[in-house]
Amino acid sequence: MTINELLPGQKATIIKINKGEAARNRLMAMGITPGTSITILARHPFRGPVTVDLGNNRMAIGQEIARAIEVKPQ
Amino acid sequence: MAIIFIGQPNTGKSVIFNSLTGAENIVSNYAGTSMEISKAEVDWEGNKVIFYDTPGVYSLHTSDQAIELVNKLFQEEKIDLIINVVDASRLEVNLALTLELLEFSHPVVVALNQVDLAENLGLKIDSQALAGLLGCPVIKTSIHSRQGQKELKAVINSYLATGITGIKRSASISCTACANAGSCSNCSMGDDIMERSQRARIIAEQVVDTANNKHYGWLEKMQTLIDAPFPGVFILLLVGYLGFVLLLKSIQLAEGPLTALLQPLNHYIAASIKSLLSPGLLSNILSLAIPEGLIVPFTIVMPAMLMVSIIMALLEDSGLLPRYSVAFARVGSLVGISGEAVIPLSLGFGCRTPAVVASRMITRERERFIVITILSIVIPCAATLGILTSVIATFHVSPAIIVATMLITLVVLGLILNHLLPQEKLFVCELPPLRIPTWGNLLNKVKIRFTGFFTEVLPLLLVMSIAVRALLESGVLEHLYALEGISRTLFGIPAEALVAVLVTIFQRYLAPLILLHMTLTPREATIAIAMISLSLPCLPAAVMIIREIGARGLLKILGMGFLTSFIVGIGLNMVLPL
Repeated sequence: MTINELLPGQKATIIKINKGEAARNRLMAMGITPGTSITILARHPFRGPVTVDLGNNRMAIGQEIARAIEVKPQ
Repeated sequence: MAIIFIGQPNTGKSVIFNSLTGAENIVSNYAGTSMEISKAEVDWEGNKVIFYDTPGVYSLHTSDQAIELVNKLFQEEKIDLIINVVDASRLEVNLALTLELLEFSHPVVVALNQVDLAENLGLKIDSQALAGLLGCPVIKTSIHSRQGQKELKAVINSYLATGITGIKRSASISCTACANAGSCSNCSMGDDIMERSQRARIIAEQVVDTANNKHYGWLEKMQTLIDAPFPGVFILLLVGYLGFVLLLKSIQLAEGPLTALLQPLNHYIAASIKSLLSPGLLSNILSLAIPEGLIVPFTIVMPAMLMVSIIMALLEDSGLLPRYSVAFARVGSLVGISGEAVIPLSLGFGCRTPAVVASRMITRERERFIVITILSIVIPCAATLGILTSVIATFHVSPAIIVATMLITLVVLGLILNHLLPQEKLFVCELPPLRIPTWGNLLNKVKIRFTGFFTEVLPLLLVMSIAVRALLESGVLEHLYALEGISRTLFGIPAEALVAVLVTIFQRYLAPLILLHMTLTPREATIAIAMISLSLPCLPAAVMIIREIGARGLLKILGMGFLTSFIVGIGLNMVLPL
């Protein structure tokens, strides 16, 4: 399952980031790392960004990245 | 001695840098405000100390423009001390960078900033335990209460007094953390970002007490509303609309009194020039151009720049700006721009000159160029819209054709630019907590952004106004009437109307006025006004473009503007029924 499939309010743990090394490193440095618990705050319509809570840190993630982040729902 | 401030985006580096050095750096409540390294030389109790403020970076091992700048600084300058500004409310993610910095051979001091914000979130941080785990001094600081300023100064003093041994830091992270992580081989963390993140999480868990009550005030409630797609998008649109109305009103209010105030001065200047120079072309040009070159900047550009600086500062400091980026990300992506471009583009409907300044909020160079190009060529300002409407009414032009032509041009131009200047499609944006802007910061920003009016905008507009007047007075444009045949064949309009199109180079809002005095068929008027509406930036906007992205950038935009205008003319001539 990937982030873009989660619904608002759902909690999940990041398992894997299916992106090239540069993008993966950038995401991990921003705190989007495997093992991190996330809560979906909102999904913007028309395949817009997904906003997530990473423990006091809010991030908006575009669809292309959201599709690449594998998660395990909690 | 050199001290460098490093931290992740939006941690408050520039505020601490400004308060320690007395410098005036732009500070905002969103990531990526400082895209340059600021340097301040300070006489620090008899010693010369150089402070560097750096753009926010998440890690020094990933690649982007900001990281390259910081790494270059480390290579070129001898850095003695690193002040790592850490956002206490986002400790875990911030500590990953701290752990990375501790791998360097430089001593590190951690400024644990925004502790008040962390407390509001119900987070209590044991700074002593954190210092123990990291093996470096940790000082709690706050932007609002100025907490920790003295302590930070004391640490720098102690460093100055005792040199590198003054601040002891272990060669590696305390093994308590590593043992828990189960990955310690005398702290050989390597440079693996993921491993560091995991260690940061373990340290954060040890020092942060989350058992406290989260303070849920009106700002947090507002944030929840704005961050939801509904009603968030509508609140943001409303705020944007209010900004637009404020901008238009301030220009309208200022224009009359300022013109009246400048009138006697302008009469005096014109009379002085005429009495000093013998009658002729030069006297004519200067006596018209200099007063013109003063009226427009003072009556339109100055109030607009001032108001836009205030609106921008408010949006930035409150944390609303990145929210535009998110809410309008999808719409913007259709023409290759991010959501925050909505702000300069909508301000452009008021006046494009300050909108060019507002495009500064877009930190990605290529995207900024796309936004300025769209602003210059497609977006009609209030003055243009007014005259456009009168031309539409006078010649019975179909507004639908004009609007459709503009929309098609917007999308096509956006797609072409997006294709020519490919951008990273990976959208990740941090959403900082909403905050009340502080007066001090607001005034500081407006001051920094507005000083450019007197030093750059005014002189440049004066020079360009003389050049334009010289061209108009010389009668060069009249030779273009000979192009009747070409104009009729290509665009289906008389050469006279083509000249009106070319006049847009100088004064976009003058061009439709010229049209009003001609006898044109609805078809001819439609083509001419569409070509004018989709052409070039007006003179003040052009000056602002030079200031913001340089003369080369302006030349590119002018080239594209001409091309767009001609293509629109040819296209409509082919499509519209005779």
